[in-house]
Amino acid sequence: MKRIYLLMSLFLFLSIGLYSQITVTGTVFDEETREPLIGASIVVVDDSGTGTVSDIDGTFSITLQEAGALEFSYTDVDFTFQSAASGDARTSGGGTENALRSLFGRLNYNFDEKYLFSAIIRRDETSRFSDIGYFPSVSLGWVISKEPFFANIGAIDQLKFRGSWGQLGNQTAGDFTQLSLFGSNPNSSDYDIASTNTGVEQGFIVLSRGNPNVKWETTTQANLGLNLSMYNGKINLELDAWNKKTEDILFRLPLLAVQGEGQPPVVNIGEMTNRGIDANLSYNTNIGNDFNIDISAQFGTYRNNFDRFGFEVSIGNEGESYIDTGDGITRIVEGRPYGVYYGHQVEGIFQDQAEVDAHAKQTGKNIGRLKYADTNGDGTVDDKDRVYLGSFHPDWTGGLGLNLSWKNITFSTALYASVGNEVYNRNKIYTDFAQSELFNHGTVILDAWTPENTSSSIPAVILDDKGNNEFRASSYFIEDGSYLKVRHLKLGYQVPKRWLKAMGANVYVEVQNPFILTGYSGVDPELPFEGNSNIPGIDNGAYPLARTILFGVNINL
Amino acid sequence: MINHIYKTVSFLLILGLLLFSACQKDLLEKDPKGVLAEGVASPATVDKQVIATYQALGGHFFGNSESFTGPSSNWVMDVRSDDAYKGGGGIGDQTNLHQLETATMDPTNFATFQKWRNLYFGIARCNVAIREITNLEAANYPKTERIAEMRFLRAHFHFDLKRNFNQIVYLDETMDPTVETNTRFSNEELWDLIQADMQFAFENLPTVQSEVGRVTKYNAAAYLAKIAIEKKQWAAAIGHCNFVMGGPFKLLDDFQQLSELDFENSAEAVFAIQYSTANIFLNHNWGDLLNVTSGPGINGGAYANGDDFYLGSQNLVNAFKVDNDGFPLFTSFNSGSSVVRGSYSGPVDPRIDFTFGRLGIPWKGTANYSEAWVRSQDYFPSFSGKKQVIAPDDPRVHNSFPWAASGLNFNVIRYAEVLLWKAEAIIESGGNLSEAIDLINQIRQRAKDSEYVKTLDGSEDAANYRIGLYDASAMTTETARQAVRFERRLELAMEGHRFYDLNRWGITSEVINNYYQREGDRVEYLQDATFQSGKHEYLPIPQGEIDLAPELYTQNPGY
Repeated sequence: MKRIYLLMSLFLFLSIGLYSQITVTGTVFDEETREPLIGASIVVVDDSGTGTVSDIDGTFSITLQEAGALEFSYTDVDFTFQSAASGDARTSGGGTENALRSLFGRLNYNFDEKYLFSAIIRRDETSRFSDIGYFPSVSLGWVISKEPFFANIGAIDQLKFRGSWGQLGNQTAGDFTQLSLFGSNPNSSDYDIASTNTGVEQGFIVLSRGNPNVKWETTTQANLGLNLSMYNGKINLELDAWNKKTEDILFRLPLLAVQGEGQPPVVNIGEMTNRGIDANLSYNTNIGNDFNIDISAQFGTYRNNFDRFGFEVSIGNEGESYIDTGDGITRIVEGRPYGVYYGHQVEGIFQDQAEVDAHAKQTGKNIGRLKYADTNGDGTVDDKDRVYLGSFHPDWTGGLGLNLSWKNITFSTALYASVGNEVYNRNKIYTDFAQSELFNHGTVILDAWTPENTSSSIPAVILDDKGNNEFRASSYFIEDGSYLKVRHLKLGYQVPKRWLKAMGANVYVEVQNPFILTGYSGVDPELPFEGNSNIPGIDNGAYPLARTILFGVNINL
Repeated sequence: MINHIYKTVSFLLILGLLLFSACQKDLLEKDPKGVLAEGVASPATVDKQVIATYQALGGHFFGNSESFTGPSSNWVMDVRSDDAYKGGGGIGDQTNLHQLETATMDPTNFATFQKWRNLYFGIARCNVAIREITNLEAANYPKTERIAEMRFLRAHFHFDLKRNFNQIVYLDETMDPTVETNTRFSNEELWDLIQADMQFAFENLPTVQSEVGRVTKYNAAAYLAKIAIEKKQWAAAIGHCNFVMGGPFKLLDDFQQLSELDFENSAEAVFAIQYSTANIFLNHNWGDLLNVTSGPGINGGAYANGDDFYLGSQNLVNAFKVDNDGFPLFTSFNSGSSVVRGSYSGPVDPRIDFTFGRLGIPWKGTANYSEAWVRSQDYFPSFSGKKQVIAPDDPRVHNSFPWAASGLNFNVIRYAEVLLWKAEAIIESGGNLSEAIDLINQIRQRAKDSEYVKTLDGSEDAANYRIGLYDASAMTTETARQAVRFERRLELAMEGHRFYDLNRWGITSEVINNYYQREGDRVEYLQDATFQSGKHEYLPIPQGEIDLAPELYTQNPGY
């Protein structure tokens, strides 16, 4: 540790001024390095509040009464980190730093363009961990189409089998995670110990917890694939099957309350597997001299599973108690996908008193209100009835790219689809429920349940649900987020050169985000959801992507 | 074929270079900025950790909701009793607190978790500070005294936990919180540990501290009395009360002064949490943030938009009814017509209008409390608490968020309670009844001598106030017990004590179920509520904590 309070030596040059005032000039040095100190504070010890700070070359000049005294203080050479300040006037600001040093070596071996071998080893050191990470990887390739027995299959230009295995390190743990840090926070550390009623004394609290043993997170990935090229490159296929296992996952493990406050330590915990298949098929051909077609299609599917984790944990900020029950909606649970939703199962809306009476004990149950399932059948709807309600992971995703050109006209588009991803549409608190009071509601609320409109899935409009607590995490908010999106459409025309003499010109019209096909009731099931990337799948009202129409002319002189 | 063989070696970096590059290690050594790393203790930094431990008394750690749902004033526990409604914008406003009110809280109840966490955060600060003080090598640093202060606070936090959760984890500075269970210590052992911390504080604290907010030997003695009362150790309680009574304490002259800034840390404040308006009200009483009437902006906006939580129950307000001699109607107070408006003409204890806002009665001399002040019809007529807010025309009150904020302290123990503890201990231990009654009468005399709430023009008393002094010679142990218990309810109303009193008297389920039944006529949602004996006396251990460490925590019975 650097010493916070540095000693200094002084050189004072005194000169006697008028009216028994003196001007003191001098230079402040760091005692150890003899470097001039910028930003040392020099204050006259009286009630005047007169003071100055040393300049960039350590010099200062200050005027005081003849009998006065000066007080020198120095806290941090880099006073841009303002949270270190204390006293009546407060400023705040901070900074952090880290360093990474990597070396890597690679060996390539290529036999006759037929047998390929490559090996890489990385050595990574980071200021964040004390261990050194070594990450090897190897890959093998066999271009089977170069084998003599393949020579007669004319349609196939190239067929290559690939296999690889490798490890990679991840150090995204934040800086100084090995140390526990103390500091002040006027919100929660200062106390009016002297009972002034208007002031406080500064206190220090634990800001974050260190883990001296934190180390690299490692991902081991194995991959088997093939590349196939046919008919002189007109058809290309890439197929990959992969298995990715992440170990020693860097995670801020929630602390038990008994451990006290402070940002939890980063620990290496758990094991997660992703396995999937990716395919990429493209077709490119010319029909006659004028017509060109270029199509590519992608398909991907993966399964995520959290293989090992000591306990259940909710992800996110439990301080959001205004809008949910404070218990995590998304969770990490061993044996389930990362970020699985957890909450009550909604069985519908109570239609009449008989149905209300027949249902299990549920605080606030009433006609027109949401009916929650008593999943464990104990006669009471409570915490114990919560179940897992799906996750944001899609069953599969697909994409399609198309480029057409006919003479001078070009057309291109790109489509993307995601199927089977579920979204927790938390906006429904505002769109569907009048209990959220001081917000505009969605027009869907006009179709809310009434004794006449019994088929509605939206509960009766009410300002106070009398304890039914309909903002609680439940299947009500979960929607199928499957969608098909057209990313863009573009139509262009290349103006013939003969029309414009030497100039080249291209005229086009392009629509970005033209439309989306989805059953999702929110704005966009694909948007980045909660600002905190640790909370996937929760739609808290992200700003929608703009639909943009561009008209353009490119002119080349 | 073979002559086509060739090979390519593109790159080969010597492994030795990779494995033995030890130079420039300093590149990777970075120091944090603007904060201190652990192990950098000096008297100055340790003192700051002590200050922060005191701060934990206010239960304000990162937001505001942890303060007002797990408040140090324990108002949400009064809501569990027959003394108060939750209040606010309606039944669904702060559902977690509605669950406390109707004894329907689950282990995921967030208010329950906040209370648990606030107190353990406090304990963690105590233990960090004690370790740092112990390790400090500095001559002249008052180590023992500072440790005594920290052990006082540690006892306070454990005490509050014990009363709320019963089966708790006890943690001192040597214990590893990640392995300690809530079943390691028996009920008796837990009380002994709490008592031992407070006893150490008592033996090592000075009687006077230069800074008013620091705890003293008298604070510790009063707290030892509080613990002894809880454990029914009557003789010990009397001893501790006597020690406090030998100190610089007395009742304030006027009951109203208890709610005034100028009388903070006065002779009646035995142990108070210090609040301040510093840092734009960051250090005010966030725990009582919501408990401000939504008065329509008297004196240019004071209290406007108050949340109107924590309202006296009709049952409690009726308890202030008295007979013509000014004595409580011990058994019949809740029958007949209720005390609702200022127009109620029957005699009432004068403390009623220092305690609640009541329709037609002036609010701290500024304006009549009216229907317009009632935020939700669910809680009409909204007996909003007066004790913990200062007058709206006091220039030191804040006129916007945080509503009605000021530097007003919260008294954890005030001298009136010390007198009542002693009276109760004497009565329960078969002591001299006239001595006990005399203590109760001191409190009643002060109420009697206070300047009663006046009508707005100041011409007359705002209601028919009467309060009488008990005649000890007419008392039996039974009637004296009734008197002291009733006096606690009246004198300490809306100060967060009632639920714990019911628990230690062993009458909680009886009282609360009667209350639910009768009060349900007025407040519909209480009709169906049931208080389960053997379960609802204590809060559940938070489910989130059990999820994190199922091997450590055993849930309380019934949850």
